[in-house]
Amino acid sequence: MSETLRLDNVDVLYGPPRGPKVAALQDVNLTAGRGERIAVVGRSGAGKSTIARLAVGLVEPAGGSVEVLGKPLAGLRATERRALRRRVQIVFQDPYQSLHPGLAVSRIVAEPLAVAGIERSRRPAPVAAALESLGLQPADQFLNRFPASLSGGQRQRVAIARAFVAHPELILADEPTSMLDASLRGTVAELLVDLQRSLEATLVFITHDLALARYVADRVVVLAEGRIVEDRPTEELLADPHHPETQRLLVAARRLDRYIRSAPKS
Amino acid sequence: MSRERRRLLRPSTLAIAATGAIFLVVVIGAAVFADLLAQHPPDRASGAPYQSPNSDHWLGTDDLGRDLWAQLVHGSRVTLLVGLVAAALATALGTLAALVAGWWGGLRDAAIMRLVDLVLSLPLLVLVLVLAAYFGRGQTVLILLIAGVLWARPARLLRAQVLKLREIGHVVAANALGAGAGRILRTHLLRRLVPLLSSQFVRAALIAVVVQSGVAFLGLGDPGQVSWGSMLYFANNASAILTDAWLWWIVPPGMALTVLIVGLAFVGFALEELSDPQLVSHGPAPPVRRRLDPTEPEPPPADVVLELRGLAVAFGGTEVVRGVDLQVARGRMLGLVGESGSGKSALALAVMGLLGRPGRVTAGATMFEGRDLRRLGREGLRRLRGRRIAIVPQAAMSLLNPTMRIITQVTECAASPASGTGGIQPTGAVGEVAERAHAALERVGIPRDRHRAYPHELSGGQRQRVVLAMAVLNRPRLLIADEPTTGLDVVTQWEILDLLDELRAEFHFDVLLISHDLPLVAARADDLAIMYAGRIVEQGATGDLVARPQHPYTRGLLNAVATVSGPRRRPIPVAGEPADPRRLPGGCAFAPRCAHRSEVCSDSDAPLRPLASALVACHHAPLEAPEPGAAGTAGGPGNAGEVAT
Repeated sequence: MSETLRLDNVDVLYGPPRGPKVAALQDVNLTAGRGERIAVVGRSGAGKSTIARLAVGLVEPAGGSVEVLGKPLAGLRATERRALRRRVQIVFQDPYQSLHPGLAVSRIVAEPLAVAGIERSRRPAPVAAALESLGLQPADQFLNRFPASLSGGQRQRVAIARAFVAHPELILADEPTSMLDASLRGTVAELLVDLQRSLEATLVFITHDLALARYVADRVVVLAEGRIVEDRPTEELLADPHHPETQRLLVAARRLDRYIRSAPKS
Repeated sequence: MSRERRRLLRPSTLAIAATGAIFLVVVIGAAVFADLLAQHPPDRASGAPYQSPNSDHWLGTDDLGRDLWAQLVHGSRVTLLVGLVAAALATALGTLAALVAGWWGGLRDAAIMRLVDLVLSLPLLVLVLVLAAYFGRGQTVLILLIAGVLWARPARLLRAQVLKLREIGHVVAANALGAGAGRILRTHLLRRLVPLLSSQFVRAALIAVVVQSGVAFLGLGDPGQVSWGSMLYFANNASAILTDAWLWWIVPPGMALTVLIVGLAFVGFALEELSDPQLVSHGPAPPVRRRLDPTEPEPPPADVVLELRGLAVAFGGTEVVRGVDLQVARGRMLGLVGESGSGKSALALAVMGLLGRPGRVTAGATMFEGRDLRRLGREGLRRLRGRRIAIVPQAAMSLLNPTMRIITQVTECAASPASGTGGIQPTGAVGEVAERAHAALERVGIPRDRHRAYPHELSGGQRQRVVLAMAVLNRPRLLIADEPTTGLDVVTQWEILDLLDELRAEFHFDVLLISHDLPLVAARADDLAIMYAGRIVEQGATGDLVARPQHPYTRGLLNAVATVSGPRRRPIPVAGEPADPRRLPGGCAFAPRCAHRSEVCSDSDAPLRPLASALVACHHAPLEAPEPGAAGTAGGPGNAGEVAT
């Protein structure tokens, strides 16, 4: 069986067409199997977001190949590529930007259905179901509201509802919690995991926070300066980090724990 | 707080827009009701030639005996028609060109933009005149010609806007989910271009009207069509300017043209201001209200740097800070923690006197170094800001000016020791001030060879270091840091917090650290204050408060955190949604989300009262030690303890 997402020796360069280039990713090999949850973890500028953008075709690799749902992206015609994209969804970092401020929630969430060519009359049911599965219930209290009237957490849940409404097979969540209050991050991550389970989809969760990665993913891929430095099962990696970058990330996450673990748990 | 910028017109602009609209209504009214307003035909003789105004011919007649009043009202039709149709055509053409060039880019963009440059470099009126003479005098030809030269400017402006919108979140999102270009352009781009489109349309209409009148005045227009320009042409031919006839033959069409052009210009001005809020300059902030209460508040004890007493802040009619008492003690970092919308940023801005309208302090005192800041007045506060009190506002690192080198920006923040006013420095001190700026940047870890960099050449962490350098440059007594680490990765977060600690020890200032991130603040602050819906709900020394939280909300915040060490445990969210300051429940604002709520909670708000060594605002405190299964927060779906693996 082929993987849902497969990167082989991928290089990505950024820069002006004829100017100096900066490597965002170098020789990256990564696979995510069907139904798997992986986390891509690294500091700002490590190239995490580029992986998400590669998978949805917003970025072209300079070398190597990208395979999504068993199909190599290179050489796909525009129509095939679009059809493929409909089976892949992305949740962006900033829910204040990723939602069209002039559209009501009902239209925002229905967009993937519209894009997939589903008749207008058959859209409301899945839209309402998606909103309710994200705890925005009753859905009809949210359908006619605009993003400006929602809190940050609600906006990000609308963005996730949009990502899940058309039952994608691959979901890329690009730091979906980093713009949210610390107290909401766990909830949003939990919702992503619940939906991923119910759809048996593949989840690629991108974060700089190993604590969240631990909670979401079975396997963690650590990126540093555009290269993968570690790719191991989550608990194993947390118990015995090999690479200095992983150790740095772990120390940073643990420094927070010290103050919280002493708190009474309920 | 909402990030949507409300787009409102200033009253003066509103007056201009209203005047313009009235002018346009007059002209459009004349065009629509021309047949009712004039009893004579405009294009045939209806009396003797060269009549002065009389009861039958209100404006007299021309050299062919045609009624001038009829020509005036009917002339508005042609003038408006050419103006609006040509403008619509030009705007449509420009939009199309902009979408093709901006969205697809590449060769198409290059080709279209070279064409735009070419058209823009041609002298418009001369071009139309030459072409009109060449192609003949039909109305349609004129409209096409005008549109053919007017599309270029909207095309260029709209293309720039499309390029900007391409990168905006929801457009990228639509692209990522595989929406076709047609769909993206229609729902995502066109809608957001409307403000710019409408102002460009009005501007094109204005130029089209001028060109049409000019062409007709020169006798190059359609001779069968009466327009204001053609009236002037005939008047000129009949030498009306040499007789009294100019009063009723030249002045009325001239006035009519003026009314139309001024109307269009005014409406266009208002639309432009709407489409580009950067043009709007905001008036000065309202003066800080002096307290009516004549008694001078007692100065706080000497070891208290900042003390808030019953501080209340409202935005319009909505109270977002509802009576906060808070002390920053000398040498102890105070962490203020709350969710988005809890009022913590409004509180920081209120202390600094930086609340933008419609926000204002409605009650309370802010004591700093023994003085009530609210009594200082605007000028006094301005002197204090950046010197005795510094603030690192929310998202400060994105507030750096992208067009200025960082060293220039840091130097600008330096208050010159000689003048004490910042900004303007006596020439002798310039070198010394620049040296201080360099030293501050080096102190925060920006090496000297990076000082001349622009903000975009630095990473987020480095930009935050620059902001800290600006804040400590003038040796403040108190630093208010509002979410100083938001948007940074975990490793960089610690670097910034460590740096803040070092600076604090070195420069001896005190810190009020504001954040939504309880673990992060708890790791650094000596004291914690938890804010919910505009009030402090729990306050105490960090160690006690984290180990023995007494307010259900504090417990909820602690349980919501994912941890990397210890047994793998599901973070438990605080149930429900954050309180909406516009619709607070009666009684305790946290009650709707609280598992411990009882009748008393909805009857009355709990005052902040001492409990052991802390302060707690909860009717049910002290809470019993939580038992397994009895969550500190109301249960929601999926709070089932351990994660199944």
